[in-house]
Amino acid sequence: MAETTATPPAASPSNPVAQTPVSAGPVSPSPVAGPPPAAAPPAPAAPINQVPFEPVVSAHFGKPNSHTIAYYEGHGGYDTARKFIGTPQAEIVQTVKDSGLRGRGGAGFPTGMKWGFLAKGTGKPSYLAVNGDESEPGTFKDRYILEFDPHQLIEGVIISSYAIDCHHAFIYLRGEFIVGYERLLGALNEAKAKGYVGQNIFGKGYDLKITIVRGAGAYICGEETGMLSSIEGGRGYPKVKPPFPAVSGVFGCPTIVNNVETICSVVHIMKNGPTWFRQWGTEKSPGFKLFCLSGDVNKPGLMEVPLATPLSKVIDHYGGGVKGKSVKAVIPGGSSSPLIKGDKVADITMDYECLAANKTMLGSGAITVLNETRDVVSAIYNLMRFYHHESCGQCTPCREGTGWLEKLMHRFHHGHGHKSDIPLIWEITRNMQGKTICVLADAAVMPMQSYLGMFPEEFEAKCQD
Amino acid sequence: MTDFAPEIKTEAEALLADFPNKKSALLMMLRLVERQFGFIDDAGMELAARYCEVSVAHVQGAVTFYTHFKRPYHGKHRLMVCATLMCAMGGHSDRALQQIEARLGLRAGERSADGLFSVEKVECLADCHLPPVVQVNFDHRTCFEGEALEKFLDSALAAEGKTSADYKGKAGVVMNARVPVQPVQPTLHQLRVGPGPAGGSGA
Repeated sequence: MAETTATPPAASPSNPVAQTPVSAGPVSPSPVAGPPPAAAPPAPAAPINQVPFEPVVSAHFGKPNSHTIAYYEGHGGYDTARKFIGTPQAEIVQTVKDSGLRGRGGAGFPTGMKWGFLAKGTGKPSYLAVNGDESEPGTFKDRYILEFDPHQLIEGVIISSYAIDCHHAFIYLRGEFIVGYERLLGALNEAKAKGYVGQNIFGKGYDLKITIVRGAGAYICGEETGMLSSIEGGRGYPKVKPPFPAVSGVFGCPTIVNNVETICSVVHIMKNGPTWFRQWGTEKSPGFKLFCLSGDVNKPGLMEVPLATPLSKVIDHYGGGVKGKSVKAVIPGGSSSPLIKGDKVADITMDYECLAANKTMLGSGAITVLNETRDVVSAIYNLMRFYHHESCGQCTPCREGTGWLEKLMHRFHHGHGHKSDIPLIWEITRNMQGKTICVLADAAVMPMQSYLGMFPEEFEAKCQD
Repeated sequence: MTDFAPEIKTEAEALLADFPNKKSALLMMLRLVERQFGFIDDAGMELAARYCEVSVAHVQGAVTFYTHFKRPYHGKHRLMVCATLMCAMGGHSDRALQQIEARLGLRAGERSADGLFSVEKVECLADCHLPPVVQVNFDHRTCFEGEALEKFLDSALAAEGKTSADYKGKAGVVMNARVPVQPVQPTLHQLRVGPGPAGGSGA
């Protein structure tokens, strides 16, 4: 296969080229609904991913000056936007629907369908809010998009805004993306100067304003309603859903929230058509995705591969193999996703259905490999500290629950656990799940339950009684 | 009354026009305060409140909600070491923190008595394949341990005319928003607007 990784230039302190991406905030809990793998007879093995794949979204990462408009236009940039602005909007939405593109931020909701939910005829302006607050630990794909190809994002925003008929788009970046912000701002100014953003774009009578907002270090602002609260100029408190943002979002107006990578994929879908996009991946998970590989592998980094690529191929082929003797477990979709045990890695393909069938999720595509030396208890202690720190404090089950879990894990981490703590952990997690405004509590509970359920002996070994 | 310098004032006014209402420009306004004064103190919060037409209490609520705004109690050289799983896993975060402690005598959450340096543990900085990730004021550094960190500390100490000996054995001050401190000459954050240097994050 002609797949090539889009791994940025080797990362070393002496080579600062390889630094910079964005994160997707808390991801919605995966639909763990799917039937257990045993109950579902393996689908007849229709050949998938037979078409050679070359990086698309990440094609220009690491190239000199890839963030400038001269480079971007030299590679066909803005041609797609120029072609589609002025064409019937419903056709653009239909193309995205046909492509089956699913949100790349974590929840995996079909993008075209989401666009279709936008409330019309409310008499209020509608907005597009691009979520570039990629805070999920393990994720750094959006950082690279912003640093190396900000024009791709702007073109995507132009097409998407036009498709949903909005005239003001927000791009919300996390505060950590310092160079990404500077590059995006520079790119936006270049695009404005060329008349691609502003009044009467491409002379087709369409107006669009793009506003960049920077966060300042809050995981919760990656949750869509938290991000909208933050755009409104205050604390990033999530809001109760429903009403969903498509009905009542930022400033109480209909809003579509999409991830940075999703918006970038739209450009390529419009350029090449839905059939092209569906050449890769499966029926329900078509296309390709950026994956962020970290942890115990020889070549960690960013890669773009078709969905449904086997996890073992990601680790061995693109990741250069596991560092250490064996894989103990893999976190497949960011810190909120339940683990995959090492012995199951061979059965996993990286697509939404397979991971849901294995009671975990694709999330934001952040794969972290843990080798046989890693202590699961200290890993979960670290994550519980993270979730406790990042809980916004609005809902008692989450504010208190994450704190209790952190305290309990602190105790286990230091070998002072009690056997009676284990049922207590299960009880706390059950009291957090689904009882809060947003899914941060669920995002904390899923790894806790999974680590404890999968490696109970390691927790028992840390008990003092 | 404190106000922005003329060129930043122009930017602030443009910012207000860029948002549907003045309140929503708050987060970006706070970045301008940070750029003008180097940190956000009470006067800076009042300034942002005046421009965005919200109460100072609202601004304070927002500033304290987010962890990355630079406050007066942070050191001039603010070292933010990522301590989330992916950086912590191979012991990278701990090694960076130990190295900093060995040179500056500071543990996470402390500021040197002279206010020049501060160290804190932060959550994921989103470059998980290059641990440990450290943010120094407004610069993003990766694989920041061993030689790279040592070199940085050398140059930062030299720039301040200090040596490790000035800090060894001296207790750091625990950083706390409730304890008023005299901030040290702030580091101004120069925004590199426009296309940046070729490739890389400019760190």
